[in-house]
Amino acid sequence: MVIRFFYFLVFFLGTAQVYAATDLWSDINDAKLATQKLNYQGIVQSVNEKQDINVLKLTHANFQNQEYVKIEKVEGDKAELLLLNSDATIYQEQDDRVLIQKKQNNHLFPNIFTGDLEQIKQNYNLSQGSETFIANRKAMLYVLNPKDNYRYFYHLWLDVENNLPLKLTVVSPDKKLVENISFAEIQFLQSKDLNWFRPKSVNNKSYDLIESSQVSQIAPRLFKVTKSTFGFKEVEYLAKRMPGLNVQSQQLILTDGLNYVSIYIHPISRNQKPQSGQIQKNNSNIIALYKDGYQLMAVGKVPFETLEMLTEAINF
Amino acid sequence: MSEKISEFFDHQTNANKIDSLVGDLTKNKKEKEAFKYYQLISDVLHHDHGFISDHAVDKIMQKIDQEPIQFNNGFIRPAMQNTLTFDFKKYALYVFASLMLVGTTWFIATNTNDSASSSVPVFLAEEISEQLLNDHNSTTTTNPNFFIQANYQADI
Repeated sequence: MVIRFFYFLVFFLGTAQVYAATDLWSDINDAKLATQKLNYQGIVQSVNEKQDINVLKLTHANFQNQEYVKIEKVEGDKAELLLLNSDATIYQEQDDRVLIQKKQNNHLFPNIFTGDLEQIKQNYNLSQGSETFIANRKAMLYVLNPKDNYRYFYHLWLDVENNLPLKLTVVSPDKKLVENISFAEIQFLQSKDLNWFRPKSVNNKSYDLIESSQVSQIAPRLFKVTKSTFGFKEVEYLAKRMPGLNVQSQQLILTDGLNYVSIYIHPISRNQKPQSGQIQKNNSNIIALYKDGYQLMAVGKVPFETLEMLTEAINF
Repeated sequence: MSEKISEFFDHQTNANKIDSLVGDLTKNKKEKEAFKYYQLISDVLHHDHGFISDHAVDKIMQKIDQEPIQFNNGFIRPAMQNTLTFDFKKYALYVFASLMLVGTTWFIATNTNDSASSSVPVFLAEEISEQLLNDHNSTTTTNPNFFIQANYQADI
């Protein structure tokens, strides 16, 4: 009888644990939907490695299944960003002129869960922390613990009411703060008005359009990925000319669902000196190595070991 | 007998055999004549020919020059008095060494391109790492503060 009760207890606790974990992941899925569906406006602050605080005003609206985002610098140089889905246009004032540049991005905070949720599950364990207040909103802490040593810890505070991410910190295994972004204020909008989705900067000013880089994706690949990439999957491949390197470089972008790594590859010509070594800059790690006549350089907010393993997977 | 005389002038005859050689020469007139010729050839080769005319020396040298030249890389050695054997071990060693030399030359040539002198890596430059980071952040960052900068672009 005692043995039967013991088996029942083990089965019950196991089932409860699996259910709890599944339930937590559904919260993450809700967070993904909340960032896309809700209309909100707030002050976003980020802290860099020098402990400087940068403050931005962010407005997000979903209108007819299109996402409209406007981000404005609150202090320092005047700059604003209009983002329609993943097409971004940046307006930056310089003296009496305005620089206009187009870019692509669809994973700016708080919209950090743009990747495959199953991929995140494969690379991270999810656990729940305690409740606290972020931007005067009640928030619950979720911790994404890496299953191996190739990535960092993600701490995420979700709004208890609607699961919108209110704060994100990325921490290395040695407790170093790699990323820290959070809402300082936030309000949820009811209005469907989109009049705010236009630049203020260009009024009565001349402007320079920075031609968007004509990135060619049809260039034949110089490389093959022949080994395991440790939970990282390719999301993009680009061929571009790097201004400083003055060579045609190929960029392979990989993600583990949360974090992104770029690997730049170009052949070393007769008069070029290949680069080698590793360096840390703005909490990102960068490594360079010379392999079979090619220069490989990898960048990302991941341990050096991860960058080394990923470059080892590249062969010619 | 001629070989004995030849060995004598090449200083290859040991003391015991010299007595035997002298004995033979005194008995055999024909061999005594041969000894004189060998003496003459030896003097010419050692430039010790003050007692004979230059004409005679030239004739002897001409005869020597007309002798066929045999290249012997050390593979052929006398086994017995009048026979030669082929040294396969030395020959195989020579062939192996030659192949190694050719192989090494080929390996160096194929694995060393024109940029060999420039392929010694230098340490990752600060400015390069800055540009890489900017380019990486321009497409992948989650931080809007990085993304809102309009001062960087990759160009073709």
